Amino acid sequence: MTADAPAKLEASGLVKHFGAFRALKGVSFAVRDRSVHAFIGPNGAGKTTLFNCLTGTLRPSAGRVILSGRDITDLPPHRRARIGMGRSFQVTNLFQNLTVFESLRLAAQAQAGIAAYDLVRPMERLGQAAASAEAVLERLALHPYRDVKAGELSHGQQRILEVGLALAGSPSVLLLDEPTAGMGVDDISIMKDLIAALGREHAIVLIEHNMNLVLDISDVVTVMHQGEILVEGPPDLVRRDERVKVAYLGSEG
Amino acid sequence: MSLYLIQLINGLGIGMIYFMISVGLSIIFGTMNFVNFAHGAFYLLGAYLCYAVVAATGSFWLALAVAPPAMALTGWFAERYLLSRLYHAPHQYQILVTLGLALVIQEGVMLVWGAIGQNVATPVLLQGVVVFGSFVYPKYRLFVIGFTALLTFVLWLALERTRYGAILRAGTESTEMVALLGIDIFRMFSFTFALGAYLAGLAGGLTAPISGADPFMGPGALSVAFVVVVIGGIGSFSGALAGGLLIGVVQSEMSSLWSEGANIMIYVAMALVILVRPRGLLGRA
Amino acid sequence: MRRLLQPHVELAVSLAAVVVLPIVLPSIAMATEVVIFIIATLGCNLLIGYVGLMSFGQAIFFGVGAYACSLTLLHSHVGIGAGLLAAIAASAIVALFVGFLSTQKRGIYFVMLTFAFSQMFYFIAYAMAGLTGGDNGLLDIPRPPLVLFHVTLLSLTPPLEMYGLAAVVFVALFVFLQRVITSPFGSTLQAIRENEQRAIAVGYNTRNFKVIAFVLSGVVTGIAGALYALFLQFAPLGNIDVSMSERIIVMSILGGTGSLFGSVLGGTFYVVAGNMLSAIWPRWLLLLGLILMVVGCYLQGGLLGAAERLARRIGRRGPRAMTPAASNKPVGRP
Repeated sequence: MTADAPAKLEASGLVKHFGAFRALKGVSFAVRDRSVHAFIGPNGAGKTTLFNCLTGTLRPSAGRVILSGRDITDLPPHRRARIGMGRSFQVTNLFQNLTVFESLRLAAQAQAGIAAYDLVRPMERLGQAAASAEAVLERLALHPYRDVKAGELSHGQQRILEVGLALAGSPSVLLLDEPTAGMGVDDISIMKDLIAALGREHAIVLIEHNMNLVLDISDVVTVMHQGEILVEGPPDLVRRDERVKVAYLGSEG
Repeated sequence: MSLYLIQLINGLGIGMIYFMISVGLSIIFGTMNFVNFAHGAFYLLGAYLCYAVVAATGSFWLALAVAPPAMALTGWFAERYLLSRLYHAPHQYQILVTLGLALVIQEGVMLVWGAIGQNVATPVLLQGVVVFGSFVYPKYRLFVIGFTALLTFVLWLALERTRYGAILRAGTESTEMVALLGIDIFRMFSFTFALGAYLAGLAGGLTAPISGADPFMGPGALSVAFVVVVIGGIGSFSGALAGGLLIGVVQSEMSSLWSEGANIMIYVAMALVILVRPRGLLGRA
Repeated sequence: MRRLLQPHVELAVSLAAVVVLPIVLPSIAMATEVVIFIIATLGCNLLIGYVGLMSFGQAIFFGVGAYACSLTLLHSHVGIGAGLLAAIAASAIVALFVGFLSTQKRGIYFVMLTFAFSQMFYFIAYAMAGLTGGDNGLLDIPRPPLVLFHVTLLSLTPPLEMYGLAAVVFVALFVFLQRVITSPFGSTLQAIRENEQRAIAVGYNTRNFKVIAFVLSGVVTGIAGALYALFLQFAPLGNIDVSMSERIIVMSILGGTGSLFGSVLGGTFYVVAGNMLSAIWPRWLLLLGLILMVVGCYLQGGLLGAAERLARRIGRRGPRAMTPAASNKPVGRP
C-alpha cells in the first residue's frame, strides 16, 4: 500500500435505522486506492448493513458515500456498478445455468451501456465484453471450466467465480462480502492470494470472518462494534488492541 | 322500499359467498406461496355435487352436509398426491398443473352432468319471502347471509382459539418458523387445502339454489377470488371477509347503474393494491 | 447451452413445416390457424422462456392487435399493411403501459398484476361496445389485397394466399426473434431469468430490459391477433379474454420454453389436437388437462424437452460420449 494513495471510496457519517434499532451510528472511513481495507467485528456489529449501504442495496438514513470523488449515496446498485464498483455476495449468487464464460461475458457486457440493448446483432459483436471475460478467466485460472455451467462448479470454484463476476466489469473498487464463506482450507489459500494480488490494483473493501486471513493481507483493518467503529489501523495495531479483545470476547464478567 | 337497500343486502350475501371462496385460496397463497388456479373448479364441483345429492335424494340439507366434506376430501387428495410435489417448482408449473386440474374437473363435470347448467330447487323450508312492513326479501338469501355469518364466526373462533389455528396463523407469517417448531408443515398444508376446498365447495352448494350449477362458473369465481385475496391482503382471514363484502356490495350496487364499470373498477383496484399496497388494504404495513 | 437443434436447423425445420403444414393438415384454414397461434406462442415464449416472466396479459395484446387492425380496415381504405402497422403500434403502446407497471413487481405478484390488467382490458373492450362491438365482436372485416408499389402481391382471397401471408410473417418473426435471443439484449434477458439480483449487481438496469422484452412480446402477439382477425374476418370479444392468455401460455409451456422451436411444436400440437379431437370428442379438454398435469409434474421441458431427452438417451448408446448430463432443471425460475 502507498499511504498517500488517493481515497477511492469514502463514507462519511453513515447512519442506518431500522425502526428504533440503530444498525449504524455514524460511520466514516476512506478506502485508499491499491489497498485492502477489511471490516471485522462480532455478529451484529453492522458490517452487513454497512456493506449494503455501500453497494446501494440499502439507502442510509444519513451520511454520504463517495466513489472516486463522486457522491453516489442516491444511486441505485446498477448505476454504481456502471461507474466502477464491483461486488461479490456472501451467499453464492451466480447465473446457475449459464457457463462460466457466458456469466463473465454478461458481467462485462453490462459496462457496454446502450450497446447492451442491441436487439439484432449477434452478441459476439461486442468483442470488448468477450475479451474482458477471457482476461478474467485467465486471471482466476478458471479457463479449464470455461464451458461448464456455473451451477456445476465445485463450491470453491463458485466462490472464485463469485469474485470473477465482480471483477469482469473492470471496477476500480471491489467490495467482497465474506469471499471465503464455506470454503475448504486449500481453497482459502487460493482466495487469499487472489485478494492480496487484486489489492495491488484495486481499492478493496473486504468483509471477512477469517481473522488470520484478514490480518495477513489487509492494509487497514476497521473493527466495528455495535454499529460504530471501535478501532481502525494497520493489522498489527488491531492485533494488540485490548478493546478489540473485549469486543470479541464480551465483557470480562 | 329502497332499491339500494335491497341491493346492499344482495351484495352482502354475494360478498359472504365471495369470502367463502376466497378465504381458502388466500390462506393457501399466504402459507404455501402457492396459487391454486383450480380453486374455482372446487367451487364448481361443490355446486354440482350439491345438485347431484338433491337430484338423488331431494334433500338440500343432506346435500349441504355431504357435498362440502366430499370437496374437502377432493382437496386433500389433490394436495397430497398432485400439488405437494410442486411446492419447489417454479410457479409457472404450479399454474400449469392447477390449470390442468381445473380443466379436468370442468370437463369431467360436463361429462357427467352435461354441458347445460342445472337448477337446484330452494329447500321447501326457505321458499318464499320474508315480510317486515315494507321490507320484502327472499328467505333463502337471508338464510345464506345468516348461515355464512355463523360459519365465519365459528371459523374465526377456530383460528383464534385452537392449536391448528395458531399454527396456521404463524404459517402465514413464516413457514420456516413453523417448521422449526417441529410441526409437520406438510400435514398442515394438506389440512389447509382440505379446508379451502370445503369452503369453496360449500359456497358452490349455497349458490346453487340462487343461480344454479353451471359448468362454466369456475373461472369467474376464481377471478373474483383473486381480487378479494389481493385487496384483503394475501393470507388474511379478516381481509378476505372485508374484501369479499366490499366487492360483493360494490358489484351489487353498481349492477343497475353500470355493471361493466363495476368490473373495470374492481380490477383497477386490484392492480392498484398490488402496486401501491401489496399487503392489502387491511394487511399490516 | 446444449441444444437438440442448432438455430439454423431450427429455422430450416420451421421453413419445412410452413411448406408441409397446408399439405398434411386436413384444411388450409387449420394450417393458417396453426401458424397464427405459433406466432402468438413465440411472443409468450420470449417472456416465459427467456426472461422468466409468466404473463397473463398476452390476450390483451392479441385482442388489441385484432381490434386495431380490424378498425383500421373497417373505417378507412388504407391497405392491409396499414392494418398490420396499426396493430403493431397499438399493441406496442398497450404493452408499454402494462409492462411498465407490471414489471414493478416480481414473481407471483407480477403474475397477479398481468391477470388484473387482462381482466381490466376485457371489461373495457366489453364496455366500449361502440368501438369493439362488445359481446358481438367486430364483423365483416375487409381483407384487402396485399399491394406493394401498385403491384398486387397477394389477393388474399384464396385460403392459400391468406396462409401465405401468415406464413411469411411467421418466418420473418422467427428469424427476428432468433436474432434477438442471440443479441447482447437477448443474452442479458437470460441473465435476468437466471438471477435478476446478480444482473443488477453487475450493472444492468433490469427494469428497462424487462419492459422492452414485454413490448416485443406484446407486439409479436399483437401481430398474431391482427392476422387472426384478417383470417376470420371477425374479431370476437374472446380474443381479449383471459382464457386466450391461458391458451397461449399452455401452448408455450407444452411445446417447451427453452427454445423458440418449442413454440412451433406447442402451437402446432395444441391447434391440431384441438381441432381434430374436438371433432371426435367434445370433452377433449379433459385430455388436455391431464396432459398439462403430466407436463407440469414430469415433463417440465415440454414436448421439446421430451424430444431432447429421448435424443440423449439414444445418443448415449451411440459412439459419441456425452459430457456431463445437462441438468433437467426447468429453465425459468420464480
